[in-house]
Amino acid sequence: MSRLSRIFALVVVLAAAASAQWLSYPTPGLPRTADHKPNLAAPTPKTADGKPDFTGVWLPDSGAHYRDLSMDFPGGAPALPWAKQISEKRDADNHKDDPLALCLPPGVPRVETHGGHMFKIVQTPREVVILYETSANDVFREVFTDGRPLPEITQPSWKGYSIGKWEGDTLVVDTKGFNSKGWLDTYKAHPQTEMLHVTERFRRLNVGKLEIGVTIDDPGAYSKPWTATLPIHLVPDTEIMETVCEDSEGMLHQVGK
Amino acid sequence: MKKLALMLAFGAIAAVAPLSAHHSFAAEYDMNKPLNVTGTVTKVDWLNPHAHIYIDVKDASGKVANWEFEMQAPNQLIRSGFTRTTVKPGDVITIEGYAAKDGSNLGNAVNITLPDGRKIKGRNPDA
Repeated sequence: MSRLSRIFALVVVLAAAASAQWLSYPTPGLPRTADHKPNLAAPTPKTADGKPDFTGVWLPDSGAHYRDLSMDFPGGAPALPWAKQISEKRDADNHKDDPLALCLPPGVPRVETHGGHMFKIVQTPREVVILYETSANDVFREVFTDGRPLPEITQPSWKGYSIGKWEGDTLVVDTKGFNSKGWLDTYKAHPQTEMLHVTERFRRLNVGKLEIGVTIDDPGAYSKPWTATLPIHLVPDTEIMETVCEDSEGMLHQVGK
Repeated sequence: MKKLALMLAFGAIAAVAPLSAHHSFAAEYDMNKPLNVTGTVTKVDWLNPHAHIYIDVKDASGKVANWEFEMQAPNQLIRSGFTRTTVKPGDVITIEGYAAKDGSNLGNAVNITLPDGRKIKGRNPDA
């Protein structure tokens, strides 16, 4: 190693040592350019078993789908009359009952559409784990890729139950078992029912870009399935942070108590 | 009329998209009541999902009122270089934002000008 390289490496190590809460720590194994910057255009990394590797810290490109998940779908979400009314009522009430405003979970896929809120994908051969900061309390999801089927649902939940299967380079995640309390998005306040089935197609286009193709299939609230494409980018050289809802007084304040 | 009227400088707050974050900004704050206040920090509550800054603001008659401003989450603040010790009681800062609908001494911080002149976002404009 040349003297200059050694000095540079030392500087990088020292800089890393001084980082607050891993906010600035070189991600191991990330392809880099000659000047040691992350090479975000490099080809998609692969795991030992030849699959695209989704491991990394990710951030939505914008909060657009968090505001309106149906923005890509012609005509908007095909909501049944009761669902349309619910959305309108939520808006008229200034969204005061948004569960996320009450420190409850954001639901799926809202958990991964919130601008400014990162998540980390950790890929292993038999399951993919996703750790989300969210704006409330940190949330995890497990996507089982070991071939098991979706279970019989006796306990509806905020994040549902997920399995994943590979279709070429796309990881197709199926999730069912949702409760009816989650909101699919924020401004439009699209509702969901326990019939909700979310499909997420994860594609890592290169080192720096992730795309999730979402299908919302909830016959209890929508007359047909509808779709969205979520553009997401890698946040290199940092880690996600803990989030815990501690501002309970502020929350009460916000809902007019 | 509230002391607030004497203190308001309807400075230009850059046009912001509705600031609904995980809850509706609209539920609590009024886009038609912009604020631009300078005051002395009395307290910083470093809480998720909203940090809060309290400042003493003097009105034209010299009377001091304590104002509370809601900000974005600590994780986002720290990533933009604002840590829990960046602002301390006694610091003089300027906050641009919007007042609460209920007329109380509560606001939502859009931009904060720190004692060293740096300007940071109180809210994530993309949340």
